[in-house]
Amino acid sequence: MNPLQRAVVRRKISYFVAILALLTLSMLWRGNIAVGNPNRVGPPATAMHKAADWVGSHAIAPQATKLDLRELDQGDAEVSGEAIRLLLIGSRGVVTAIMWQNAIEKQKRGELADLELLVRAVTKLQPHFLSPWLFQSWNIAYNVSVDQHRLGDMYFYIARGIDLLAEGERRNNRSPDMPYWVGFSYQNKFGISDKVQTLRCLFQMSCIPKNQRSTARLLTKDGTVIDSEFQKFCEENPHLVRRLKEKLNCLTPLQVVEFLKENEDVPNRFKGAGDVLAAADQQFPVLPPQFDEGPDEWKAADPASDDDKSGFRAGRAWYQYAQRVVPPNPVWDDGRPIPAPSPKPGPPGKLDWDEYDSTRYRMPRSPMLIIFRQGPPRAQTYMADMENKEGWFDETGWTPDAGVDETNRWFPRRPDGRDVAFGEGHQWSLDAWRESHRRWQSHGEKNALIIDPGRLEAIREASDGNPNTWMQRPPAELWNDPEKGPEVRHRYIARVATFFFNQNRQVTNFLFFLTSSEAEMQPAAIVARKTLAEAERARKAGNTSVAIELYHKALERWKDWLSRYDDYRHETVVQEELFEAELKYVRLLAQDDPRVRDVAQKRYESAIWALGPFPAATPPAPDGVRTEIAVREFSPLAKPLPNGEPWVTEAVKDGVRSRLGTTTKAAPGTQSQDEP
Amino acid sequence: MNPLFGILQLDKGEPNGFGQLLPLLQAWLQDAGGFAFLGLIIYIAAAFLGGSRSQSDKLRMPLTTIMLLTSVISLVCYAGWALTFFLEFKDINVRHIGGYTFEVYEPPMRLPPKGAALKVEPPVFHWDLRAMFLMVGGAFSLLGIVQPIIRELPRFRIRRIYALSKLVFKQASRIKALWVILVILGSLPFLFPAQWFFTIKQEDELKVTILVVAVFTAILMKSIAALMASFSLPNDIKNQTVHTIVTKPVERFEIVLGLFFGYTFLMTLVLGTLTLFSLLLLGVNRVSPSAEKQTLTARVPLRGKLEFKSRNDKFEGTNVGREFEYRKYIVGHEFSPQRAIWKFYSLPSELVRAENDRVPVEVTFDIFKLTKGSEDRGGSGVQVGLRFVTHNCPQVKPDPVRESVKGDWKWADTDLQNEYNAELQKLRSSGKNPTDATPGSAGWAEANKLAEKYGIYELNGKPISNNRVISWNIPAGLFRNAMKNPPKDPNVPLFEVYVKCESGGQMLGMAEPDLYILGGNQSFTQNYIKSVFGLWCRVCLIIGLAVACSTYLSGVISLLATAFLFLSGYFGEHVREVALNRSVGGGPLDSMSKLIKAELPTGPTSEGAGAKVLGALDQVFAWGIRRYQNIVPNVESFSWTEFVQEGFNINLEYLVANLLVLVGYLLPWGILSYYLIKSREIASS
Repeated sequence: MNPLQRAVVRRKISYFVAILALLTLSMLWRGNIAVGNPNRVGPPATAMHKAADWVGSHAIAPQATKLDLRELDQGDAEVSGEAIRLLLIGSRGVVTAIMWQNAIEKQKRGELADLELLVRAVTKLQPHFLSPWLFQSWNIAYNVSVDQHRLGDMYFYIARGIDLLAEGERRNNRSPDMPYWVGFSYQNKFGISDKVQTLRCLFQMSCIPKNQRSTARLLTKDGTVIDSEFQKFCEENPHLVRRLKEKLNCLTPLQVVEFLKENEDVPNRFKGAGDVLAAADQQFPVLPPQFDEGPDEWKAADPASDDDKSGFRAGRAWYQYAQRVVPPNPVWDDGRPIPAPSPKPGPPGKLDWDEYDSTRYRMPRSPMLIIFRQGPPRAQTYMADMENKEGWFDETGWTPDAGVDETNRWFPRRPDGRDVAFGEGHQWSLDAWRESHRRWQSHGEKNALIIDPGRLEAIREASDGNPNTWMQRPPAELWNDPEKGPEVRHRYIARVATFFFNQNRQVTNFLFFLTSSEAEMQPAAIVARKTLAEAERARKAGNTSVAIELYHKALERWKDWLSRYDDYRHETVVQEELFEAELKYVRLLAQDDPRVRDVAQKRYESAIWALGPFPAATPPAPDGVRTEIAVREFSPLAKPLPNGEPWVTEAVKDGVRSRLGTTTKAAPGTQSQDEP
Repeated sequence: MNPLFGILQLDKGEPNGFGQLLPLLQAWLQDAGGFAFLGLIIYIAAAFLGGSRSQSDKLRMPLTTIMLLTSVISLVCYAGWALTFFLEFKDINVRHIGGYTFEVYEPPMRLPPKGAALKVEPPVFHWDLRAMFLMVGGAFSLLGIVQPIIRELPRFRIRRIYALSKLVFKQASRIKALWVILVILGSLPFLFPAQWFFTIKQEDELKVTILVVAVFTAILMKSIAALMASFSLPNDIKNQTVHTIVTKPVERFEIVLGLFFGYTFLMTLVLGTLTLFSLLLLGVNRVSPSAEKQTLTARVPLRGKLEFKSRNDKFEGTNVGREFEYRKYIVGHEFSPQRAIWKFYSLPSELVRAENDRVPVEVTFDIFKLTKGSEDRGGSGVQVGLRFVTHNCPQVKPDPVRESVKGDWKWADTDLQNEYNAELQKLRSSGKNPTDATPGSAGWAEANKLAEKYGIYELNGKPISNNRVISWNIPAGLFRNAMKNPPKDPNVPLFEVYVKCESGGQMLGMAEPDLYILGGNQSFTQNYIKSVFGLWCRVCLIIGLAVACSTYLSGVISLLATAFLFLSGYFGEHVREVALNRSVGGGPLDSMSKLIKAELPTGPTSEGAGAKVLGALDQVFAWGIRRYQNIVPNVESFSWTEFVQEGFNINLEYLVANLLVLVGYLLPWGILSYYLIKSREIASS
């Protein structure tokens, strides 16, 4: 071997060694070769062990695992998206921007299939960028859906929008925003949006296997309804059938079945037409998986459901699911929660009282944390309220043939002569309000929105602050001072807590929800509301005398109930509801009650006699007089409370009259022609 | 229930057909001729100013008398063209010479305000002097520049070009990586259909599959074509393998043609195979029946011209403020005088012999709701009224005095109208209601008789859904009436459709393609293959561009130049905005000035001298972009996927026009490549 060859061999060997060393080093650094063992048992660790432990803990893989930074820690991995990203060889940004632009263009042109395809492609390319998921799901569920005039199409796009967000959540399951906005979309679109009644019906149909709502089950070959099967269907789905009858004017069983037929291909939770559940990501309504914090919540693995599944129920489940990743409320020295602002991220292991471990928790972008946390009880309140509004009060259920003449009956009477009823044996509204109260109470305690008076007083005393320095954090040297520090910190935290106790209650309207749920969960409330609903039904059916009697009874029951809940009685919404009921009652009295007519006529005649004796003929008392008599002498609300306070304030009355268009008050700035 | 059909939105206008060939030719002569003139000037200048030229130079790049002559004629024409600007400055336009009237220039087009969508009008032939000067000047310039090629043409041999193409084909097909990429990437959309990854609305399944396959195939084909065509010649020159060709008796331009045809043939084969696979996929793909109904068809629409009319002559339809300003709207009301009128100036004679005496008419309207309506079963719909009339039953607009007449359009001949009404009433009372009759019934026979006699048929109170295709039958008797005594005046339509929105508080939006007579159905497979022709044109365009660029530029630069030019075609709308200096916020310099001064980008530009200078420079920039716009291919006009997706037939006429446009676009590039390859010292590279 000549010197040149030797040099070549030497160089090759040194290259090989360098490659080997660098590769080994990179594997050590990446954590592919585990070094050290922090969980070592046995003899004390030597310096070498300590060094190895240090190296091991500073490798990339353990750090990534600790900080939840690995791809798999973000959520479900998606192979096709990964493959496409690799294929794009670094031009992902350009492609995404073009696709985004095209998606906007497609939406403008109403080419919605292409829009959705592009949106899905964009999210596949950037699965961990949250904004496209949040924006486009909202865009599809709200903007695109609202452009659909056929309600089946509207429902489809709402479902697609929510589904997109749920997919985003699966890819980014450490994000609190995704599940929260899934919950919000359910609550909003199936709770309080336009066309909500149809959307609720379609939502319920999504939860019923296709074979259970198919025309093959409910119709004969010649197209008539099979009574026995239809009755069974009503027993299984009383909420759905009631909505269809009372809200969507499906006045015959055939019309109900036609609605089911028209929408039979609605997105649903099942594989094909049977009752076997589809995979969690193929279901609509899409639901969260089983999670520790909400074992009783509705989840993807729940089988075909009972009847009261609603958007609020799905929303509550997602809201609850979102709570897993948000930091808990800060606690004070006594280990109990204390009113506090939204915590800040802090270093793990060295957290201050208002900081959270950013490796374990995430803060939502919006809304503010205290509002974010009240999602589940809020959804429950909506749920309870919906039961009230739809007339599901107690165990008597719903009687579709109540007040219906014989020709329009859906079902023959029972052997005991009673009408067929569905949804019996369940305290619908009562149970929902009780659950609502339990949740508000628990939420208040966990987040220091409810503090017992003694403790609150102690906090206030501890704050002992000058209002000018009320919220200023003490300087660091004082804060960390071994002697003065604890006292300074204690005082400062107490000041902050005093401030945020009021603020958090105000921004969340917490007291209203707590008191309303407490008042509404009373049997007296259920009875009062039920009587009012019956009066309404009688009025709409034209049974005036029955309606008058029921209204009177209902108003008395409301008085009796509300007199026990002073705070709740003062709430504007309650007063408005009460006054609207009174207005309807008074109108009926003035128009149809002979007692009112007689009294009004007598008073009117007296007045005319007073003006001039021996009038030629006394005309009937005008409407205004009859109404006035009904309000003053017949309405249960005429007599104020024992403390002289009226049941409904004048401001509320004016507001209601104005809203209903019955006000006679002159608009400000206008003058009567008679006036100078 | 109406079947589900796709909707075709032709917001960029009807595709070019035979009617547009002449205007397109004029535009081509003007644009290509302008560049040819520039080339001619450079060529002549190089010949005169380039000092003493060697004999071989003179042989390779000759300067002929014809070239000089055509240059002079072109120069005169362009001088005439410049003179028209002087005349415009002097406000001299219409001239009468020797009994002929001609325009010096056409008044400038009225453009919508900045930010509003710019409607693309179909090309028209311009007879004004300015356009004609430009056209004739361009034609002579082209003649001058192409003259050496024509002179050399007898030396070209198809045999040699074929051999060179074969060589290119063989070389390219030996690149194993190409086949691996093609097989792996090309099979992806077939192995992994879109439905596996995206939840698609049932009726749109096939539509989305076609889109995915089309996009994927297009990207694959175009990128491979651009890569191969850009690198082939530069690599041959770099590796000196080109010497094996140029040392043989081959014309330089034959190499270019060989490259073009070789790659075109190869890519045609690949595209053919992929098309077969695509059709196989679409055939075996299990999709819902609604998707099949929507997409597996090729409807042949017979379209009319849309006009909006009302009491007010100036009524042109209402803009409701939608971002997509494609449709105009009419107000709904029982007595609304507003009508959308489709006018058909010609009709195929087959309509008079339609099967079952019925002719389908399909409509798609956009509903703009001003009231939400009630929430009942299925949502509240909107109702329309349609009146189909022939030229024998002319209609007149309502009386301008609102109080006297409700907004109903009446017959010009009121006696005939009374006669018709009486006859209709009689039929109704006898139980043969022609207006609600279904084809095949006794009422339908009466409807046909009535329509043939009076030339009118009405549909009232018909519910429609938003952006859904609704199909109705109209009696063939109407068309028999229309064919009777056809009007001599070509401006009188044979047949008209009056559309009225009957639901109060709602508005109905429509564009020209939204109503058509269904002329028949063609095969979906044929239609799909026609759409592939569009892709083939685009691939040819890329190959042509890349080969032309590679005659002078290196491989990478050729690829980038081709990609830039081709992709610019997809941003045609933006390029047009910049070229016309219509961008909101002004041109680049104006915008930059606003940025520096921290002024509102959408605010008015200041009136100072500096701003005026910047404005003038922006105009110059816009002029430059307009010239760039001339060389950017209109790529989108070759895309037919939407037609296939929505189930509309691609007219053969469109494809022929496409082919001619492609040839027209590639010709100047071919001429350029001829000169570039000629001027290159390949043997010394």
